[in-house]
Amino acid sequence: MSGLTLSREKQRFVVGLALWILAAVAILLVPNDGAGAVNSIGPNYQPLQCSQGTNTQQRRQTVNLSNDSVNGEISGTNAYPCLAGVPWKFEAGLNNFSTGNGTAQGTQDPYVIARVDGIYAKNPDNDFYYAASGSAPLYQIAFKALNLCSGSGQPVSGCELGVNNLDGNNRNDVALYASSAGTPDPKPAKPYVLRFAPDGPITLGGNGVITDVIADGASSFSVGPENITAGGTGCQIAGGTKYHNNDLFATMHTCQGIKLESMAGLAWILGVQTFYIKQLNLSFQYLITHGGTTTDPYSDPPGGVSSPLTSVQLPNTRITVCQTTARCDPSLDYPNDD
Amino acid sequence: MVDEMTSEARFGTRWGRSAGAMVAGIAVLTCFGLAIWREAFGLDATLVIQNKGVSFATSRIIATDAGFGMTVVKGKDGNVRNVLRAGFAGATMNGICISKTESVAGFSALTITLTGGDGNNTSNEITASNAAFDVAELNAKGSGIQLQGSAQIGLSTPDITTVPGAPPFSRNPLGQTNSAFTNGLLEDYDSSIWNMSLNGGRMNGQGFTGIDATKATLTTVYGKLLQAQIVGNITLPNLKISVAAGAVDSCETKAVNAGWSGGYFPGIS
Repeated sequence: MSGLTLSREKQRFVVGLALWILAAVAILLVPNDGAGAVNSIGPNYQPLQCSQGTNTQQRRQTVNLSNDSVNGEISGTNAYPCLAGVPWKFEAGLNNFSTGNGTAQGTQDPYVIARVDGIYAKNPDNDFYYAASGSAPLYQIAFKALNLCSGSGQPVSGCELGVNNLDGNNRNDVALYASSAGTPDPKPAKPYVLRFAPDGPITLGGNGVITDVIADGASSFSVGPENITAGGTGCQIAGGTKYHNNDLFATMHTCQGIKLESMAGLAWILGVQTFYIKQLNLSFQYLITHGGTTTDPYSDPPGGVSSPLTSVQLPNTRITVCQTTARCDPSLDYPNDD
Repeated sequence: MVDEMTSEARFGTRWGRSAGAMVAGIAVLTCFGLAIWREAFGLDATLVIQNKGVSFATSRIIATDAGFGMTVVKGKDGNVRNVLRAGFAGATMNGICISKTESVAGFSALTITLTGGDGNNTSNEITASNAAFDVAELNAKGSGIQLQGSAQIGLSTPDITTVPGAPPFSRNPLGQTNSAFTNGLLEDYDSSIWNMSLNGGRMNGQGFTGIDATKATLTTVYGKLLQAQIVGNITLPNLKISVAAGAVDSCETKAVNAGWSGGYFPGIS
């Protein structure tokens, strides 16, 4: 038996090796959200060929779904939308909230109109085919919940509901709408605006739901003072690294908000953040709500098929179809309906 | 599902044509009522309403495999107009009110009102399958519109799946215009619908956007429909049809005048 006696150093090495192997095996066996789950385009859920020329599915895009971690993805789980090419707008809050990307605000309307939980940007500037005229860089954003005008500890009087800024008070009233005018050719010969005008607390996402948005570069939102700290070099966004180098504000240390414009500003968001928003101007081509660990958003929705979780809430909503964004009134557009 | 509601659809093909004379109006009303009456007893039939400006109200709609897609319809004059087509594989409703006022020879106007339901705000006593509605304007009060499960916004209308409620889904179930399929391609450029023929004439719904959801719940709903079609079975208890001389309050007007913000639709018992 003496032949099996190991020196103290060899015993340490053997024990160390065993621990290393155990740790390696443990790591290999750690379940990964969605690992091994690969859904694919198929006639069951994508029966229409979404052609662009001879490529029968070129306008059908692959959108890898996110989980709730930083730049997290559900491996192999995708949505495969055939995009319409019509930009959707989701607007709320001030519309005069600065014009410059990263511009800090001094004296401004103090109202916060939304809270977005767990937001992060991923896959910035990817090309998407969203119309026959070709591709364009779009940006993917994921978040857990967008609570608009919810009043959960935040003032909601900044949420102006109803008709869009007709009172000229420089606040965009809450509206979710799609305008065919922004579609690349070939667009509808007769233009339309499909408008959802909610009047109450709005939620996108929520418990058990992740929302992925494919937004275009014209989107912007402005974070309020809750997420801004003043420093000697300017105003810093919580979770971000970008300082605003405006001498005036750096001197005055009055940071009432920062506007993130043209989506490039999203690169300033590091980590999964909660932001309080003073202004929202989201322009997107596609939005999907899904479960954070789903293997297939079509057959495995959040909460399951039999009792799916609520993922979009638009209370007291008026739906209208009209011809222009201004004064969306079908009775004016189509006076012979009655 | 909605072939009759595509670009070939014509406004006024039912009630409108019947509006020329009182007798004809009553005859059509009777046929209309009988069609639904047969459904109330579980017989197989199809309900189609094609007209402009039909007033509609219900306390609640719960729809599975719900889709909302923009498309166009043609009027009798051949001109197209845009509508939001809502389609459901299956839907239950809590009370229903449909009304229409028409000009009739010998009368200034005649208002036909159809109501159904059990008066119980907790039950969804009306069921329908494979239904579609063309919406001109619609209000959903209270909790309003709730989309449940996987909800997608921005799909082209022919990519929205509503029927048969389980995979494999039908192509273009909402009947997006120019529904000429070749191996799953939606082709045929129509200058009255698209402004040019790019993409080799393969339009595939470009420019017509929509929403697809696992399930949708709409509460305290009222507004104006242009067309409606229910291909599947309908269960419609306590059906009542009334005809009144003159332009009496429509379902929508009753809702507005009552300040309806929840509960059972006023006037249905």
